[in-house]
Order: sequence, then structure tokens, then C-alpha cells
Amino acid sequence: MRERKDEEIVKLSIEDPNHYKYLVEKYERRLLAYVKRIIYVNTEDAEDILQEVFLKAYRNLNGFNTNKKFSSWIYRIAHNEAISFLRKNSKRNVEIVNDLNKDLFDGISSGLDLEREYLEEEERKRFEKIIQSLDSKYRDVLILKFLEEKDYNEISEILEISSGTVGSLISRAKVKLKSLIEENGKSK
Amino acid sequence: MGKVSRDVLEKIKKENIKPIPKWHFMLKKSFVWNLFIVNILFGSVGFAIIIYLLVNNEALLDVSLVGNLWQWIVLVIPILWIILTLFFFFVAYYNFTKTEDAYRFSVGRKLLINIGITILLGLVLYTGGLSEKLNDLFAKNIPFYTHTLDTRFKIWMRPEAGFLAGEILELNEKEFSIRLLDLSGDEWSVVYRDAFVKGRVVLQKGEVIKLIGKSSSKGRFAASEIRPWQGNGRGMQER
Repeated sequence: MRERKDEEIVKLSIEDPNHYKYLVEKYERRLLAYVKRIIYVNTEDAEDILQEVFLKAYRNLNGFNTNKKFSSWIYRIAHNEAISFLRKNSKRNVEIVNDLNKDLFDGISSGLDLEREYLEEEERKRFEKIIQSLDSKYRDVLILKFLEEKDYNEISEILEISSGTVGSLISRAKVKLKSLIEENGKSK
Repeated sequence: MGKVSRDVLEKIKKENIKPIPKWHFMLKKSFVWNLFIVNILFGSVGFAIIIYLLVNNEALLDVSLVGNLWQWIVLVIPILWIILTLFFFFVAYYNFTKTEDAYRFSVGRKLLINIGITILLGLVLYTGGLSEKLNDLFAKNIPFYTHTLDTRFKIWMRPEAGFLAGEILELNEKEFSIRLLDLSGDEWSVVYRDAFVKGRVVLQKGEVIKLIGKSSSKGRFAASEIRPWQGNGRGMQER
């Protein structure tokens, strides 16, 4: 079953829910990390969100277009559920986890050709704050491109924006990030 | 198997959760597309009728028929049809944005696609003669349509300014007189002895004509020119 394509497993899961576990197991860790990256919640909240993601995906399996990529579809659901969670809980004191791990930092910084000095620990913390201060539309594309390693078409499907818009958001995000880093450097 | 996986699969089994049936998604998809088609069609009809009303309006190129530029804007431009067409266009655009793959297109491209379809379909309806038929249909079946949406009415129902239009009820060729039922339903006695009759006009009972002349008193009109109701009066020879 693990050798089969996701799209085939979807068809089998509609007939027999026991096959669905292969999809859930395959995407659980990836999506948990993704949700935590885009809305900075703790593991417990992220797991609650993820449960809703997989349940929603299961209910809507017949709405999935098997000519498209399942991973883009489920990432889209995860993205929407995460944003929805944030909106519902904006008044609640949701624990914001400043836990951009090393992978995130390395992923983005190597993709942006940042100078060596920013790789020091103190500077990395400043960088984490800068990333968090970015508008979500920029942060989302940076995470999908440099961490989730999605291509433009996949990002387009996940965020439901045109490929052209993906390209221009990434360009603008890089410019914005560099300018924020420079500003932050000057205010030291 | 992770915690989430276990919890999800357990919940699916315990609550007997089932996937929503396929027909639900197919119905939703076709509903969205049908809404788009209907609205783009309405927008195209509006566009076709705008072309028809402009092309069949002599005043479009002859400001003297209406007096001044402001009157020209008010009387010649089918403003209500333009508003209606824009309304249906934007509703169709909104419907299009809700289709499955619309996100692939930028806003500009989506607008261009919708404009392109509206114009193309509108031109097809116009060249096929459907805009004239539809305009007549609306005039016959919608109360006050002629008074409000057909710009030709506003120009040609100004007897005090020397413009009159209506249907020939009775014709007396010996005395060069016509009994006319105007577009508002009032009767007129028209004398056309010295009138310039445009080539395409057929003076017979039931024919709808436009008249330029002078209203001598209520219900009496002396015509100096007779034109057919359809057309813009250009390229026609005197008989």
C-alpha cells in the first residue's frame, strides 16, 4: 500500500476507511510541523488542528480531484484550518511559541544568501523575531518554498493564488526580509 | 502510528463518519458554473442591446437632433442598459472566481476573460439579429421599458421639439395624411404633403415610423421628414 500513489489510496479509502490510515500516517508529521511553523502554536494545539484537518479531508475525499496532487490538497486544508484556528482563538491567550527551529532558520537563510554574521546565535534570535513580524502572506510562501520545498505550482494550489503571484510574493518577501534585517542591524 | 493518526481513525470508526457523496460536489460545481453562464449571458445580452440602441440612434452622430452635449448624454447613451450590463458582468466575474481553477488566473486575466466572452457573445447576438428581437420583446412585455430603457423613445417622443414616432393606423395617400398612434398610446393626425420620405420607409398600416416636423396643436403634426423606425437614417435616398 505504501508503494501506491496517494491518489490511488484516496479512491481505496472512499470504499474502505481502513486504507485512509496510510495517508494519515504519511502526512501526520509533515503537517504537524507545517501547522506549527505557520501559526506558532504549541504541539497540543497543533495536534487538535491536525485532527480536524484529517477528519475534514476524509469527509471531503469525494471532492478531491484525482488529477491533482493530494499533498497540495491536504496542505491547503491544513493551511485553512490553521488560519481558522487562529481567528477563533485570537481572543484566547494562545501560547505563541517562539520556536523557530534551526531547520527553519537554515532553510530560509541559505535560500536568501544572507551574510555569515547572521548565523551567530544572538543574530539568529533577532532573525526569528523578524520572520515572525513579516506579513503572513510573505511568511507562508517562504515556509512553503524553503522549508516544505514546494515548487511554484504546488504553492499556487496550496494557497490558491496564481503562479505569477507566488513568484512576486517570494521576490517581495526576500526584499522585505533583507531590508528588515538591515534595519535591525542598524538599530543594534 | 502517531497520536493524531490513532485519534482520527478511532473517531472515524466510532462516529461512523462517511465521505460526503460525490453527487454533492458535482452539484455544487455545476451550480457555480451555471450561475456564471447565466450571468455572462445576461451581460452579453445587455451588451448586444447597447450596440443595437447606439447603432440605431441617429442622434449618436447628430447632436443637432438633441440640442446640446448634456442632452445628448442623457438621451442617447443607454445608461440604464450600461448599468445593468455592468451589474451582470461583475456578478459573472464573481461567479467565475468561485470556480475550481479560477485561482490560477491573475485578477487582470480573469477580468479580460470575462470581458472577452461578454463582448464576443454580445457581438454574436447583435450580428445574428437577436438584440433587435430581444429589444422588441422587452418593449412589448415589460411595462415602461420603452419609456425608460429604449433611448430612441426619449429622442423621438418630443413632439414639442418636432420629433414624433408611432405606428400608422390609417393612411390617406390622396390627402397625404396619416392617423398615427404614438409610442405613448396617443393618437395624432399627421400631414406629410411636403415631407422628405426616406427610401426605406414603407407607408402602410402597421408600419412604425419616425417623424421630424412641427406640432401645430395637440394631436396635430406637420411632418417635414419621415424615417423608418429601425436604422439610423444614414445612407438612404429620398423617394
